[in-house]
Amino acid sequence: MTEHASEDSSELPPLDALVPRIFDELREIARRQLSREHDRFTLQTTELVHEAYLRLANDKHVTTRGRPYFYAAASRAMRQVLIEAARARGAAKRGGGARLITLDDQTAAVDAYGDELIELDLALVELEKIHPRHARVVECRFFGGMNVEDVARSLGISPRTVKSDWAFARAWLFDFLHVGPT
Amino acid sequence: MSRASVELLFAAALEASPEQVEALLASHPDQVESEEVRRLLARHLVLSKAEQHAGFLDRLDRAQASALMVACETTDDPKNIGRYEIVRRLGRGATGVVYLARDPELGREIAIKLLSPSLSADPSAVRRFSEEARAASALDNPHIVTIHEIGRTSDERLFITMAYTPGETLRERMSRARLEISDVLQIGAEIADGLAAAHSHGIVHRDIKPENILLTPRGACIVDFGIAKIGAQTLTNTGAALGTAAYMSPEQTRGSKVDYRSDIWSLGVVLYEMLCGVRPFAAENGEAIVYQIRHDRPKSLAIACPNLSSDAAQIIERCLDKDPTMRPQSAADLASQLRAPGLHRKWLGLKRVVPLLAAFALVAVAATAVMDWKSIARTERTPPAKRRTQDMVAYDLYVRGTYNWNERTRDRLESAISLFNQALARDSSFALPYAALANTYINMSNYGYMPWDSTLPMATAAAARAVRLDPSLAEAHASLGFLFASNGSFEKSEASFRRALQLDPSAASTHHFYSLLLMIEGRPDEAARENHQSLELDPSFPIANTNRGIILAQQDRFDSARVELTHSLDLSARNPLAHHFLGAIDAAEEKYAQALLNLEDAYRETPGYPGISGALAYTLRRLHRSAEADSVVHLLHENNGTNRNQINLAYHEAINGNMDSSFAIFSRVRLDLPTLIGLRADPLLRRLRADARYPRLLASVGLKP
Repeated sequence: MTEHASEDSSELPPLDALVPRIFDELREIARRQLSREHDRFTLQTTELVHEAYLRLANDKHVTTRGRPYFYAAASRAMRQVLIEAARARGAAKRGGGARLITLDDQTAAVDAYGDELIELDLALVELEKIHPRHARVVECRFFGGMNVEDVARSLGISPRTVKSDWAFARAWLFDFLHVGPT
Repeated sequence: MSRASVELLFAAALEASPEQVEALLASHPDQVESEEVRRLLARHLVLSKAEQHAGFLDRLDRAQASALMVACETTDDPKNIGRYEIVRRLGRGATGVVYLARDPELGREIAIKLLSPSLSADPSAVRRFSEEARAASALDNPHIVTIHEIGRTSDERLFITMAYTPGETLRERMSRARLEISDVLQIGAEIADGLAAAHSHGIVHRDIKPENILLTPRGACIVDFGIAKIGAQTLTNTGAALGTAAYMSPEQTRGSKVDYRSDIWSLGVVLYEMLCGVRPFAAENGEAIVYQIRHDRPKSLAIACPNLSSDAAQIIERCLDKDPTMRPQSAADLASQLRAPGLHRKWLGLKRVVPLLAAFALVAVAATAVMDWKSIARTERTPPAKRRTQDMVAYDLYVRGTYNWNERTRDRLESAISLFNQALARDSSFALPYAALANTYINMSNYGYMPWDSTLPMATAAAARAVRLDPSLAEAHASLGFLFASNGSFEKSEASFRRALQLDPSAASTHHFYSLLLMIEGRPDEAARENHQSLELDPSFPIANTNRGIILAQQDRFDSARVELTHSLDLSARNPLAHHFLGAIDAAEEKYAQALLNLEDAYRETPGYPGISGALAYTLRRLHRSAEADSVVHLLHENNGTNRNQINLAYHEAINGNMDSSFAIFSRVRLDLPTLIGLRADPLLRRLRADARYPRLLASVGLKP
């Protein structure tokens, strides 16, 4: 009996239960960093994910599924954390934004970036419906900051597949965002 | 269907030349699909060529993303929580926000902690937390904060109301000014009092840190009992999920089960930090801190806090012993030690060196006391030229190294290497640690933690050095024997063992190593005899006990094997090899559920040990858990470049009855020592041993069947 690495999307491990927990962790870690050094706070995605791993390293789901799987789940959680921030920012802006920390000249650029992320998220939702594995590759690379080898390990596919999925997803998302759904 | 063929067509086109692409697209049966791929390929080309799109989806703009996070950090504080009116926010911690609130019914001020949503979700975790928090609170100890109520807000978030005492956290106090030594000892003793009360009721805090200590007019007070547990979600969890890495005990960083001694470690970290103003383990990031916690000795308090008496330094440094059994064995003891009269006064004798040396000697004696006296006697017998050292600390380090080496988990072996190296740093002519270092490096590869290529040179150098320093040292020749056996030089190995036994027939480890060689040489009776000898000399030698079980398994005496393997687990709980063979025996007897428990334990510690992954995958399949089985095998295929993964694939094939492919793989890998033992003894390889090709396989490495 020989095992072959199946690369069908339906074989990807589900990201179910872990994502909400990592989401809370990531947000908490980010906030803690924020409260400590909000003057020079820069989001270090890979470090956040890493710290979340250490903090959750005793969670049964994490230990049985292993670190690569965790990174895939964490990439999705990172996506959610950022989209939540972008949405909250958008809502605050519409509501007058009285409580917001003023960012002066930066504000406009940040708002624009938040809107871009929300658009990307919506496009990813569409991509995921048709090409789920490709959407996961984007999550891992873009939101999780992972390199090709790490993505391959996390999703249980070959680096070659990661590269071609990435090219495909980038082309698809570009098409969707700049030309619109067909 | 369409989705997959579009993906495949695109992937194929990416690797094809332009002409081939045209041919590919033209020959595709579905024109809609080929058109979509054509369009995506065009986009792909634009994205990879055009400058202005170079950044598209390239990477997250971290500066902008950070600004976004900052901008949305507004967290509106609630006006009410339950029936309480919020007065103001007192602080925010990792687990939630603390408010000062007013109870309108009783007209008093209270503190409310509103837990973050993630900590409010799991009902069973919440129940355990409530039980523990209430139990701790019910102790009514002046050094544990009293909880009034645990409730839920309208949006289902958990909150805790507590007595409000004006004061500050120890963290705030520490950031204001350095504490006096007498205050540090007083605060430490009070925290220890609170812990002692909790520990005596079986409650472990798991997250002792300055943020969780309140300094009130009535003294130091511990908050947040049970919180670590709720964050943990599982009963076996240690609370590492919530603890800042810096205060975690080594066992906590490993996710091992923790007990009250973990709190004593954390209190040691807090004491150290109060005294020195810096933490004992203060690397840049979490991973590096964890490494330090597991492996490094903190900077000595004699240097970091020169005004502290050596007695006090010793007490605190003992709290920070990597080995829980070496720490103060109760918080109550610790409290009374910290209150000992004169402790905060600096020793005023002639030289500081004198009490310091005395302290070291004490530690060394304490270290040896927990070791089996027989194994100490073994290393002390007939001391020739340079096997011994005059340096008590070096000797202590060596003994502690061997203690760690007895458990073959990765972290233990790494600690052993570190301790042997520390011993050699103190006395580079001390031969025993070199021999031990060689053995440990060999074990690092045998258990699959490091590739053989990288350990072989180090093991060779260390063993050679040991022999050079003291040619009459039996342990040095035994290390050479172990090295030769591991490297396939069986005759040289035999000669080295004989030399070692001639020099000192009373070294248990020599007999043990020799029995391994005899096992792979197919001399089971002699192997059993040597194994028996090693256990006669040192009955509590864990791995020799395991090996006894393996020898019995080889003779198909499964019940006796089980008894021995279980016994070796009593001697050292983290023994992946014992778990592996117990699991393999269970699986061979079709007791799959039981096998799974053992194999999972083995796999968690040493996934690379020959046969563990194969046995695990096989057992999972038998339990109809194919997806998990597949993922275990899949990992082997993913990294099939290593010798070990190849071996494990061969095992897996053999266990599943695919003899052709198993022998094909076995014939092209390096058959290392654990693999040969597995081939001889693993109960799941009985069919392989019955195959006509088995003798040929053994003959290929110069072994008889």
